[in-house]
Amino acid sequence: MRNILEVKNLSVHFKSDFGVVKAVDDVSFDLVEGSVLGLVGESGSGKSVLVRAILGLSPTESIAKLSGEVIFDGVDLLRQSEKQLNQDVRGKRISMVFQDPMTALNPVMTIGQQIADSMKMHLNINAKQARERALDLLQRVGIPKPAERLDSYPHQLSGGMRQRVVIAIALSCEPDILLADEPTTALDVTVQAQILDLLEDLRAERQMSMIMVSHDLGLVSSRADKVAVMYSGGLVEIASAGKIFEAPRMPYTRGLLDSIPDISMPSHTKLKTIPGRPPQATSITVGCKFEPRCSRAVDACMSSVPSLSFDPSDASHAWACFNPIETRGESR
Amino acid sequence: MQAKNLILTLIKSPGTLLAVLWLFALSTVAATLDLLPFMNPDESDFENIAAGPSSLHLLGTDEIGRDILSRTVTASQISLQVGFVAVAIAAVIGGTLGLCAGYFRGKFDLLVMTATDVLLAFPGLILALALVAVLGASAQNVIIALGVVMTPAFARVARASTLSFTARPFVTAAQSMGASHRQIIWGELAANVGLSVLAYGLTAISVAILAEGALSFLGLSVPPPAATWGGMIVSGKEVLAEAPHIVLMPALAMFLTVLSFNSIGETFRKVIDKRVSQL
Repeated sequence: MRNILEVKNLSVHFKSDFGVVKAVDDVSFDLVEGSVLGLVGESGSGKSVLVRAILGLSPTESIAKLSGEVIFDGVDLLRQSEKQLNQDVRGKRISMVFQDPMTALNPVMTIGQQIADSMKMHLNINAKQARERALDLLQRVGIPKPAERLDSYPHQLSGGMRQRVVIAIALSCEPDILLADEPTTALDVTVQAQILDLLEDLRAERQMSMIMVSHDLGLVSSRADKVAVMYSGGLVEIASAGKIFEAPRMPYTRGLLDSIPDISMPSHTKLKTIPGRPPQATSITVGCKFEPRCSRAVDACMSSVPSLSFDPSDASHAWACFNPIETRGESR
Repeated sequence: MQAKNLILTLIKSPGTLLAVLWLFALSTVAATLDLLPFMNPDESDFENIAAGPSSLHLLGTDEIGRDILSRTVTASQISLQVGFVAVAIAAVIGGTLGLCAGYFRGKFDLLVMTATDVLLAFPGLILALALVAVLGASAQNVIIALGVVMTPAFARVARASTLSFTARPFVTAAQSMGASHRQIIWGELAANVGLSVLAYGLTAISVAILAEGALSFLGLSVPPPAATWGGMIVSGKEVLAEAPHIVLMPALAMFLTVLSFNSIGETFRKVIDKRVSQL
C-alpha cells in the first residue's frame, strides 16, 4: 500500500482585519493509493481551504503563512511554481469537483467547449478528438442524449446534470487523485446518492484515489475507507471509517455522530446537538479548541493543546484528546 | 441559440423594434450612400432657398439652397462612423485594461484606476475639445479624442464586472484544471465581461454621437462645407424663426438615433441582468 499523497504539518493562515485566521493549522495525513479519505467537519473548519491548498489554489494576496509539505509523487507541491503546477499537476494528475455545480461552470460556454478546453490544456489532441472524448465522458457520467448536451449551455441543465458535467471535466484527463469538495451539498437529496454512486463507480474503474470533503459524517463513513475529522482548522481524529463510526475516541466525533438524526426515533424527539459554537477563527485560544463545548473536559484541556497521537494497538487510529472516550462499553 | 433568444427579446417590445429598424435603415443608407440617387449635398439650388418640403426637395432646402435630406443622410455617415469607431476603440482598450486590472489587482490595478480617475476628473467634452483643438478638426481626430475620453468609463465597467466574475467558482474550477492566467482571462472571463461592456457600449455610442454633434456645433468636427448634424444646426440657427425645418431635420435625426441606441442598450442590459441573476 503506497501513499500517493502525504500532507505534512500543513498550515494555511490568512490575514484579516480582525487578526490572523488559522484556517488550517498543522494538519498531517496520508492518502493511500486507490483509497477514499473522507474529510469531515463543520462549516468553517478549514476543509475547503485544505483541499484547495493541496492544489496550490490559496488566494495569494491574503496569505499570512503557508507552511508544511504536500508530497505527491516525490515532489512537494507547495514548492512547485505556478507554471509547473499548471502543466503537470492541476487537472492532469489531481483534479477537483466543486460544491456548487450552478456556479462551477462558465455560463457563456457550451458544455462541450468546457470539457474540451480542459483536455486541450493537457492532452495533445485536436478539436475533433476532444469532442469525441467529451461525448464519451458525458455518456460515462450518465447524461442522457450526450450528443445534444455537448452544445447546451449550463443554464439549460438541472443541478444534478451540471454536477455530472463538473465530474466529467474533472475526469477528462484521467487524474490519479480526485478532490471532491462537498460534491453533493448543493444537490437535492434524491440526486445525492446517484452522484456519490457515480463517483464511486468511476473511482473504482480507474483506480483513482479520492479525498471526499463533507460535513455529513454519516454520508462519508459509508463511502470512505478512512475518515479524518477536522475542528477549527485542526485534525482531531483520524481512523478507518468503521472505527470512527463504532469507536470514536474524540468527544467531538462522538458529538457529530450523535447529531445525525435517527429516523427510528418517535416524532418530536429533540434532536441532539453539540452545545455552543466553534471558536472565532481569529480568537487566540489556550488549550484544546473544543474544550468550551466538551462534556469530558479536564483541567489539562484548558492549559495545553492535545496533539494527534496514535493508538498503541492500532496504528491507523489517532486522536487529539486528553480524556478520550473509553473503547469498552458505552462511555459516560 | 442564445443569440436567437437575445434577438427575440430585443424585438419583442415595439419600441426596441422601431429602434432596431431605424438604425438598420440609417446605417444601410449611410453605408450605400454613393449608390443611392440622393442629390449632391453641397450643391445649392438657388431657386429654392430655405424652402419647405416639396416634391423636388423632400425635406426642403437650407439657407443656401442645399437639399436637407441629402445633407442629413450624408451627415449620418460621419455621426455613425464616429460613434461606432470611437466606442470600439474605447471598449477594446478600456475593456482590456479593466479586465486585467480586475483580474490581477495589486499595483497594475492601482495604476489603471489612478489613470482613469485622473481622466474622469476632466469634464469629458472639454477634454475632447482640447484634444481636437490640438490635433486639428477632422473625423479621424474626433474619433481619437472621443475614444480617449470614453476609455476610462469602459475600464471601470470592465473592472467591476471582472471583479464579480473572478469571485465565481468557475474561475477557481479553471485554475484547478491548470488554466494559465492568459487562458482564464481570455477563455473564461472575456466573454462574460464582454457582455456588460457591450451593453454599456451601446449606450456609449449615443453619448459619442451627441458629443460629435456638440463638437461640430462648435466647429471642431469635420469642417464645413462637409455635412454634419451639428454643423447643419449651427447654419440653420440664424434663420430659425423663418425656416425652423432647417434645424429641425438634423436635430430629429440625431434625436432618433440617440434614442434608438439608448433603448437598445437598455433592453440589452435588462436581458443580461436577467440572465446573470438566473445563474
